[in-house]
Amino acid sequence: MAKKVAGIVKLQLLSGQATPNPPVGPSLAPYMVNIPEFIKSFNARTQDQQGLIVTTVVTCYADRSFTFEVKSPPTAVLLKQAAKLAKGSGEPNRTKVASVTQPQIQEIAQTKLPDLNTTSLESAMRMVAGTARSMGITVSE
Amino acid sequence: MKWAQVTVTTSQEASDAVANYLFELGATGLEVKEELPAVALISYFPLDDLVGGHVQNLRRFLDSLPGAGIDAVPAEVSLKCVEEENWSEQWRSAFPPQKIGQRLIITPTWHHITTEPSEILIQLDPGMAFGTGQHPTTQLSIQLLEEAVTGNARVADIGTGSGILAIAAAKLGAKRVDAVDLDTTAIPIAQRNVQLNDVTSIVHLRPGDGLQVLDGTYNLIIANILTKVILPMIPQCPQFLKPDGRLILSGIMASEAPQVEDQLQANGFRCLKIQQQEEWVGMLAAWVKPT
Repeated sequence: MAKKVAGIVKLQLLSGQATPNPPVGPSLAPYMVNIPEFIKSFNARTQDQQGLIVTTVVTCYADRSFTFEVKSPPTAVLLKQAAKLAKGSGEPNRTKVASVTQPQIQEIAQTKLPDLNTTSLESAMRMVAGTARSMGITVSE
Repeated sequence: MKWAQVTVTTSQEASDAVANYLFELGATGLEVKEELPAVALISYFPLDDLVGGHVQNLRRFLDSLPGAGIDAVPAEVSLKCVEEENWSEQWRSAFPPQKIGQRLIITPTWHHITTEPSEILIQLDPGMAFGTGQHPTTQLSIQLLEEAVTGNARVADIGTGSGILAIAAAKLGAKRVDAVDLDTTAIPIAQRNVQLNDVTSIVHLRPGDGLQVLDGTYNLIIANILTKVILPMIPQCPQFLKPDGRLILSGIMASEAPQVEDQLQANGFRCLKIQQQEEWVGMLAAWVKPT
C-alpha cells in the first residue's frame, strides 16, 4: 500500500556505531519513529563496514513507521580510501598530504553521480576534485 | 548532558568538504538538509570548552575553500545549545493501545492492559514499515476480517508485512493461515510477531510472490497491497478459493475502487461490502462458483 511520507531524513553516520545520541535522536524524534529499531537495523546492516562513514536516507511515514536505505560513502571518505589517507590536511592550502589521479577522480565521480543533483560527469568530477583540494589532496594529471 | 548543535549552511559544491571537516573535528554524525542551492549540515558536539575553537576553525576552513576552487557561499555557521532528551523513549507515547473494529485491540508490548472477555488482544511493536495498525488500509482490513473469518477457516494473507492481519485472522478463529510476503526482510519481523502472539501453530509464513506459493484452496484470501498488484491477481484467485470463498482487498484508493469492482465482477465475484476510511477503500467479495 502507498503510505503517506511524513518526512525524509538524510544522515551521515559511522557504520555499525549509531546511537540514540545526536544526530540520530533529535533528527528522527519529530517523526515519532521507533529509534531503537532504526539503530539496531542500521548497525546490523552496516556492521561489515564498521567505522566507515556512510550516508543513510530514512523515510518516515505518517503512520510513524519507517524505511531506510544505505547509500555510498561520502566523497571525502572515497578520496581518503583512494589516497590511503586517515585524515585530511589541517591546512589544505599550505600542507599537501596525498595525491590522487584523474582516473581515480573519475571513478569516485561515477560512484557519487546518482546521489548528486547533476547528471554531468564533468561537473561531478569538478566537485570531487574540489573536495580533494580542500583536504590537502592534490590531483595529478 | 548538553549538546552544541553546530549548523553550517553552505553550497552543495562545498558540502562534502565541510562534512568531512566536521567529522575530522570529532562529530559522530551529521544530518544533511538539502534546501538547494544551499545545504545545511547539522552536527553535534558535547557542550564543552572546545566548542568555541571548533566554530573558529570551521569559519577559517570555510574561508579557505575558494583557494581550493570551491564556492562555499552562503558559508554561514550557527551555534545552538540542545538539552539531552530521552530520544529512545519519546516515540513510545505516539503508540497508545487502539481498538479496531468490534473486538480487536492492538497494543505495543510495553502497555499492560486488561481486556474484556469478548475482546481480542494483539501485541505488536511498531518499527520497520509494515502494518502497525495505524494505517487506514490495515484498519479496514481488520474490520472486514471480523466479518469474514469463520471458525476453522483456511486463510491466505498475501503481502503479510508485520503479520498483523494473519495474526488477527488466527485470533478470530481461523484454523490455518498461510501468510506470504515477497519482501524477505518482512518475514523475520512477522515471525517475531507471530511468536509474540502465540499463534505459531496456526500462522505459517512463507517468502514468495503472491498466490504462487499457496497450496490447496482457502475459505478466505486477504490482500492489503496496492491496486496495481491487486488487479492482475483477481483472475487467479478463484483457483485458490473454496466454493463461496471470500476475498478481502485493501490498499485501494477511493478513485480506483470502480476499476477493482469491475475486475471482481468480470471474474465471478460478488461485492458484499465496500468500506471507506479517509481516501482508502476496503472490499469484501464472495466468489460465486459457476454452475
